[in-house]
Amino acid sequence: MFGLMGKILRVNLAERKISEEEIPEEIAKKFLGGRGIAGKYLFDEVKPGIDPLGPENKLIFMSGLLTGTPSPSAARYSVVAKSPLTNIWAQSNSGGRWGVDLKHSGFDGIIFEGISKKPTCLVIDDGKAELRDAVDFWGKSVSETTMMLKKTLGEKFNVAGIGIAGENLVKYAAIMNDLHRTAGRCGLGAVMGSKKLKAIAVKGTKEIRIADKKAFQEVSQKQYELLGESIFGAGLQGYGTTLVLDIVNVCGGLPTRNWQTGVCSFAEEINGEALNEKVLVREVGCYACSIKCGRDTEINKGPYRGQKGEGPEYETVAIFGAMCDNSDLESITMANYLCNNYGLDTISCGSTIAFTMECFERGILTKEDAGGLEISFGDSEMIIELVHKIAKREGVGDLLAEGTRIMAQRLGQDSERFAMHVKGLELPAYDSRAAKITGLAFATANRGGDHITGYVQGPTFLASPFLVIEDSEIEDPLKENPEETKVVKDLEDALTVFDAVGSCKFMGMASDAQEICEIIAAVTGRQFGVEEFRKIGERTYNLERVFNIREGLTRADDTLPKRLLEDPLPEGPAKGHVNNLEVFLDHYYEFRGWDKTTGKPTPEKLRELGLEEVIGQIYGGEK
Amino acid sequence: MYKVGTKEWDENYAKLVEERNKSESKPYIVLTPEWASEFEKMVQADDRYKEVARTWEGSVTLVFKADPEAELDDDIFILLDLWHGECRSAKIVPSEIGRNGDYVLEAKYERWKRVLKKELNVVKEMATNRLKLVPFNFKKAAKLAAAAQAAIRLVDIAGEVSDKFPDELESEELRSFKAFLKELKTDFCI
Repeated sequence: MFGLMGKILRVNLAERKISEEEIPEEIAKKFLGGRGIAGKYLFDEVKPGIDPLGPENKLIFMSGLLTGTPSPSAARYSVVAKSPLTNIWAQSNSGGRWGVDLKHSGFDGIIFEGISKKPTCLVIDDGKAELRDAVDFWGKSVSETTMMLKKTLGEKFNVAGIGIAGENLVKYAAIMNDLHRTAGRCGLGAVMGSKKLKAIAVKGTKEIRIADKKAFQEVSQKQYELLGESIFGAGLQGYGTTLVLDIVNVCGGLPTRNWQTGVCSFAEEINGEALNEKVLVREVGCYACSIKCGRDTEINKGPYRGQKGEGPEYETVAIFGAMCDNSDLESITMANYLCNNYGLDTISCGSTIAFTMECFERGILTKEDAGGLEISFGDSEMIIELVHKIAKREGVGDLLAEGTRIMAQRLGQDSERFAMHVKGLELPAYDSRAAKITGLAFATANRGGDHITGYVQGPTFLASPFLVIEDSEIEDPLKENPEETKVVKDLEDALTVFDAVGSCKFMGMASDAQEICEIIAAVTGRQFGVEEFRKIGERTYNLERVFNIREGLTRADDTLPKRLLEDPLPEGPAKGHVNNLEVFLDHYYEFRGWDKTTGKPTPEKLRELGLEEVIGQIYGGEK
Repeated sequence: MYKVGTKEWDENYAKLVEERNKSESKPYIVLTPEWASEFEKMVQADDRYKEVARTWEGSVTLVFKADPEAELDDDIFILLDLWHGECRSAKIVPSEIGRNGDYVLEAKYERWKRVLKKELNVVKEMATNRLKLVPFNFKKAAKLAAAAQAAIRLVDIAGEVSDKFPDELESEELRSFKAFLKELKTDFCI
């Protein structure tokens, strides 16, 4: 097989059995790799209604088709499972170079089944895999585990694993790799923890076969050159992803004080310039990436002085900063380090803390409930304390570890109104009242409230259309134009392919679909055109949707928090605006070929995408 | 001929703009000094621009590359002196002045025209190097990326100033425009 290694590992943790399987050619063709192939296995092997933290859930790691090749910014792997945070389909992916090393070890992916009796880790050394005891690593942080494993196995091993948060089944625990890189969303670290799987160490020298090396080099070189002189590449290298903070703020869409407003008065204290001045040591990039949007950082003042690590990224800064009304960049950076070392998703963690702050402000949570803690907006030390407590499920941290949806259900008193999640997944830091179409993308994303499923922030807040689809222009972000819902659909499909091939989505801003198809064709040695590119994305996206429908999801779940639907923004350029989701939904479903009443993909659409075999699973015998 | 970079040049340029403000009727022809002056006033009066560009520092030169087919025989340089949401001036300038702008953005006339008419997205054009930062400089490119909303607003305003482009003029008006450009070249080295 070209591009893919053609093999996966199946690891039954309960029986401590490991077997190798070949990836069927047909699956490779229809789903490419990464999120696509992993999703197909998950769909086929996980029955609806299972407990995400029980033995029947499967945890599937899968590198992308291009991951590990010198294709620009192709370093990513995906992880899928049923999510303990949302109870629906979950996918998260991460860069760095662990996904590359997994592939070089001889396997595209790993399927974990069952639950180990005691803590364990998987070691793959150039094609040979074994389960090892991890009792000594249990209770250790991500960095301690990584160091201990490297000491035992050798420096060349690369580690993906969980911290204490995953062990403690924090619902938004992350899987970490390369120490600081995160498959953060949807609580996949908790699934890993439930399986008593502490880490996966990989090393290898296997070659990834490329069908047409000359053509591959030519088209890759072209993309490197494009990136080398692109203002996006420069912007991301210059400021990291915090490049966008000021841009979002001037649009009035930077969620502040748990989305009570979209204008942050202290943005200049936490923006990209501030990060460069206060904590940046150097820019770092993933494997084969010339953009280098990662940040090596060190805290130079205050109580956390001397702490070092990677990040924070835009979401983390916006959420532990503006969302928590915290202007102290050093504490934001420290919260990021802690999340990385405990293995926590910074978006969900920071959002849960911001929600807690508002619950306190409104008297829904009290000092007594919180074990004597006074929790208020802007209290940077309290943010740090709460991160510790969440990871350890200590005191009030046990409640916060459940995420905002469960918290609101338990607290009641209309707190659901400002629990800022969709389908249980906490929202990213873009207020959709200031760019209406982003609300549709949040409401319909397969994994819940998410920004990179469709990345409609590009053509709205950032005014930067994605070249990977034919037309991604949004004329006026403050207007609801139903015809523009096609942009969401097209971006979701296209970016799904990015997750399947393991490429960074930033490439989609600078490269068009034809260029990406040329790379895929050169790697695989088969004809691969734009039509197939789009169809694979749409097929994968619909299969995930069917997974969710099978779990009981309906059109009613494609919605937003009441705050976004009913409370107008109080200031800034989007003052007075709310989300009117209903204007969009019918049109979006129509572009998607989904039933407008139920939200199910129609049988015709599923047949068109070559997914006939799943029709019966959501329609029974009725169609 | 007025010497470039002198007080005399500046004073006579200002006088020229004043005269043409009286003699020419609105909408002004794009790329004329009176058009640039009107652009300056409109940017200055724009609250949205002030907000989105409040941290911007540095002059920007827009270079319209010569395109004889589009009736533009020489490159035209528009220098915008921009500072923290203010537009301190907008002028047609000689190349040696324009090239010294902090950020020099260059494209074919036709490309600029489509950007100003909003047929093309200015950020997308910069991202794909069709509006080129010359010479390319990483730090400056990063600043431009961070100023995407300011760039959009500037282009919106420029589009509002006028949609009367040289290559769309009637023959009589085009003749007089070309003659005027010759005068500018002779008197102001533009």
